[in-house]
Amino acid sequence: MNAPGGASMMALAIEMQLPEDVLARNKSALAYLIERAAAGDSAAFEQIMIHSQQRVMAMSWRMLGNEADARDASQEVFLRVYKYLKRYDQNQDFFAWIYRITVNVCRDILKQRRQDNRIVSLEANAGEQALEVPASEDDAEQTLLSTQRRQLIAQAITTLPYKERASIVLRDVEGLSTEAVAKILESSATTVRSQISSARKKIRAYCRRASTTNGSPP
Amino acid sequence: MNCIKVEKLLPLYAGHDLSGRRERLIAAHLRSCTACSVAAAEYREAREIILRFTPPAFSSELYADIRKSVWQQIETESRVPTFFETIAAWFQPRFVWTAAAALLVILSVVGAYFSARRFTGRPEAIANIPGAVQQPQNKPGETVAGFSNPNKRTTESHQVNIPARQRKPGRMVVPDQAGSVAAYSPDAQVTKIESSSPIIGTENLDLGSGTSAGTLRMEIQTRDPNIRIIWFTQRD
Repeated sequence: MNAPGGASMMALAIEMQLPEDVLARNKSALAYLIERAAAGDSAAFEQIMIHSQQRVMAMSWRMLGNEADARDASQEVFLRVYKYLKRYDQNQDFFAWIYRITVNVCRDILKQRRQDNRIVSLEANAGEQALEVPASEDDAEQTLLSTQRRQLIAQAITTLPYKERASIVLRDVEGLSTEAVAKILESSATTVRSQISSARKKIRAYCRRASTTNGSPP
Repeated sequence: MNCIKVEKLLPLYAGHDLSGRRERLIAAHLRSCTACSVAAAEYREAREIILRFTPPAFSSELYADIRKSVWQQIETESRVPTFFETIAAWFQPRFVWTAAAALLVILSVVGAYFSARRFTGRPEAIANIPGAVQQPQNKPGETVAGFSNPNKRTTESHQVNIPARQRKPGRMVVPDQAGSVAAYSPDAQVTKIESSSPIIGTENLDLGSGTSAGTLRMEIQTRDPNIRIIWFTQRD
C-alpha cells in the first residue's frame, strides 16, 4: 500500500512521540504502520506497541487486578499481535482486535491462576492505586471516601464472573458500544446486554451490602 | 410499566443501553415511583464509580521494559536453534515423559507377547509327559459315530510311543490335535479348548458313554500326568 500521507504521519509520530490516540484518529497512518509491521518492519511494530501499550496495560490490569499479571499479559498480547499481524483484516477496528487478544490472554492467565490457586488481589492493589492517583477532592474526608469507593468497586468487580467482568470493563470503563463489546467477546449484543445488566446488579448489591456492613453509604 | 418490569430494566437504563421508547417509559415511571427512583440512583452511582475505576499511572520504564521483553522473546523464537539446543530440547520434561510412556507401552507389548508364547502348549513338553499323549485308537469297535473334525491337522510329529493309558470301556477318545480342538459327542455337543489353555493332552479328551444314557462324561488330561479333569453333564 502506498500511503505517503500515512508514512509521513508515522515518521512524525516516531520523531515527535505523539500521544497515543494520534494513530487511533488517523486510520491511514495506522493502516500503513500495520502493513509495514506485518512485512517485518520492527520500527513500525515498535510504534504500534507504543501507541497501544496504555490501553493494553489498563485493560489487563482491570481484568487481572495486579500489575505483575497485567505486565505479563501485555507482553503476551504484543507477542500474539506480532505473530498474527499478517492475519489481521484491515477492514476491522485494530484496537478492537487488540482488545480481543487482550481479553483472551487475560482469560488464559486467569485460568492458569485458578490452577495455581492464586487469589485475585484486585482489592489490595486498588488500595495502592488510590494512594498513587492524586485525589481530586480537597477534603481529606472526601479522599478517604473516594479510596473506600475504589476499593469497594474493585472488590465488586473481582467477584464477577470472567465474561461479566470483561463486558462491564469494555462497556463502562473503556466506553465501547454494546455491539463492539459483542464483537470483541465473540458473542451477541443481547448476551452482552444480559451480562452487563447482571454485572451492574451484582455491583449494586455488593455496594449495598458493604454500606450496610460499614454503616456508611458507598 | 410496573415496578417489577422497571426493576429488571434499571441496570440497562443506568447505562443508557435501552431503546428510546423504553427509556422514556422508565423515566415516566421513575417520576411517579420513589422506590424505583432510589434504585435507579443507586445504579447510576455504582456506574459512576465503575467509570472512575482507573488503573494506576504506570511508569514509562515499565512500558519500555515490556517492549524490551517482547523483542527479546521475538528474537528468541525466531532464532534457529543450535545443534546442542536441539538435542537439549529432546530432554525437556514433556518429551521425556512421552518417551518413557512409549517405552513402557513397547515393553508391555513385548512382555505380553513372550508371556503368551510361554504359556502356549509346547509339543516337545507334551511329548515328554508320560501318558499325556495317546495314539488315536480308531479300532472298528471304537469308531465314534458322527465324529468329524474339519480342523484336523497332521500331528504325527507330535506323537510319541507312549503306552496307551488304560481306559474304561465305552469311552470315546479324541485324536491328537494341535491348537484348538473340537470334539463332538454322539449328540453333536461341542467342547472347544484353546491352544493357550494350561490343559494339555487334549488327545485324552474323553467323551464317556459308559454312564447312564442321559449323562455325558468328559475327561481331560492336564500337564500333570497325575491330574485328570473329569466331569459329568446332562446330554440335553
